[in-house]
Amino acid sequence: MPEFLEYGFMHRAFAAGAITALICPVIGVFLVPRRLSLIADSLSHVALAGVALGLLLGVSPVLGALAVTVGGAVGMERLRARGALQGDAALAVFLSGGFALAVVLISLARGFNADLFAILFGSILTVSPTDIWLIAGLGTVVGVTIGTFYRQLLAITLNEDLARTSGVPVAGLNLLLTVLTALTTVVAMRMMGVLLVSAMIVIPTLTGFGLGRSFRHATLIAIATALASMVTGLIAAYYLRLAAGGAVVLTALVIFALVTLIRRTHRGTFREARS
Amino acid sequence: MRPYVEIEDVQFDYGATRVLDDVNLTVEPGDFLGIIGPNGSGKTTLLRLVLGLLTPSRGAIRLFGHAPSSFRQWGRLGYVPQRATLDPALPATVYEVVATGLVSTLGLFGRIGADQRQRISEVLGHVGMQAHAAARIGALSPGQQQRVLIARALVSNPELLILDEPTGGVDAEAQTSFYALLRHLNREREVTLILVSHDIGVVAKEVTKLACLNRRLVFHGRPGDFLSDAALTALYGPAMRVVSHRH
Repeated sequence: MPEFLEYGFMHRAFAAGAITALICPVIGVFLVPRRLSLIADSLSHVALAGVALGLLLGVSPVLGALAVTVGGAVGMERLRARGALQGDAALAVFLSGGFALAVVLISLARGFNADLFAILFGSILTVSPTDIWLIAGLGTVVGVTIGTFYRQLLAITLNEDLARTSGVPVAGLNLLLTVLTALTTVVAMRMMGVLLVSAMIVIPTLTGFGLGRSFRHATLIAIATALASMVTGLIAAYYLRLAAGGAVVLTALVIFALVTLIRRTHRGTFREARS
Repeated sequence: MRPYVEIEDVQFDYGATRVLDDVNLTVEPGDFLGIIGPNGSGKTTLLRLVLGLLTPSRGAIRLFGHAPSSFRQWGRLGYVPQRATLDPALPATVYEVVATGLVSTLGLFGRIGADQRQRISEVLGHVGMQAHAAARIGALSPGQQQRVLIARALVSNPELLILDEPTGGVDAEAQTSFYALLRHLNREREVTLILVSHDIGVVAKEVTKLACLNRRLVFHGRPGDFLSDAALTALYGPAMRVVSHRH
């Protein structure tokens, strides 16, 4: 057995990482084509405020992040749906607002600097046994919900008006997707770090979209590359003492770059497909 | 039998701009209605009102006897949007796109049953796209993409098909077979059609009823009466002449 598998914390890191790698692309395939990638980024900054609040109040940072992020997701979607803030303006407001609140709470608390680094950039050491149960629970909720509404979400991704005239409850599913993105952010935060959660949602999705023969196939490829990046990144983080999130995202980027390169050199079969 | 679409005294404003004024129109079962008018005449807005994607500022719209906001029998209606609405970078296949037209009838986890699979290949056959079922939509020509969108609209077996500028960017040959398909649907399969276009010549030749829109309805009747009518001037000439002709 390789050395890194002898430790309980690595088992937990791999479990949390696997759940993260499974659900991030599953959300990403519905966000990226609609130019909503920034939702994940905004919500992860809101999650940081939740973590800070949790640490300040002495409750679990994951629970703090969960409560605040879901609240933020509902608020953001309300603002967007009512047209109070146009398109990405709502996302920008929540991104900076969440980050500002986090910074204020962190400076109020003083003294969780070590934790802060792990929260911002991801760590293989900080997943507690309680966290694992929470992450597994949230991951199951996200996976099952997306599975249930897969076709409806695909219809909305293709064209919202078409979906509406086929009887898809578009506003309700948009809210649901935003809340699921919030849950995903909380799940992914531990391994990836708040600042890199959205990279895990976006980059494997792009790889999948480049290679996929169908939407379903693209989703499966995205999950596979996310898992491969996660395993490689975590092992690298263990041996080289790297921030886990950074190692995972760099691996995902290398895969994406290789795939793009191979596609280019293979006579542009996909360029034809896209023209 | 009740009209499929009833539009009564409809007015619509985008902010301070009046886009539609005093529009009255009904679509009876079996009609092939063409709605024509210059760019910016409110054609697409009128369709979006009928589909419940917009709400009129004044007046009422009924779709199969219901207000579009409370309409639930979406399977009775097929909508074909302008082709440009599909993102060519999305890896969805022809099959996956057409299947989204059945979304309200699918089982748990969006499972497509044997009947539905059969139905999808049947409509792909109608539009001559069966061989392309596994192709990515982005890989198809504009005319083929249009056929896929029509197959998607037809898959739920609708009684009413609403098409918005469906031949934009489609070559002449594809246009001819497209209108042949519409004729077949209307005459053989008794599908009621509403077709929005700015292409007067072709539309006037194909439809059984014509409505000319330029913020108001300037003509509504049989296409044969249209070309001789003052409506053509009303539609494209200066507004002053409309008034002088009518009084």
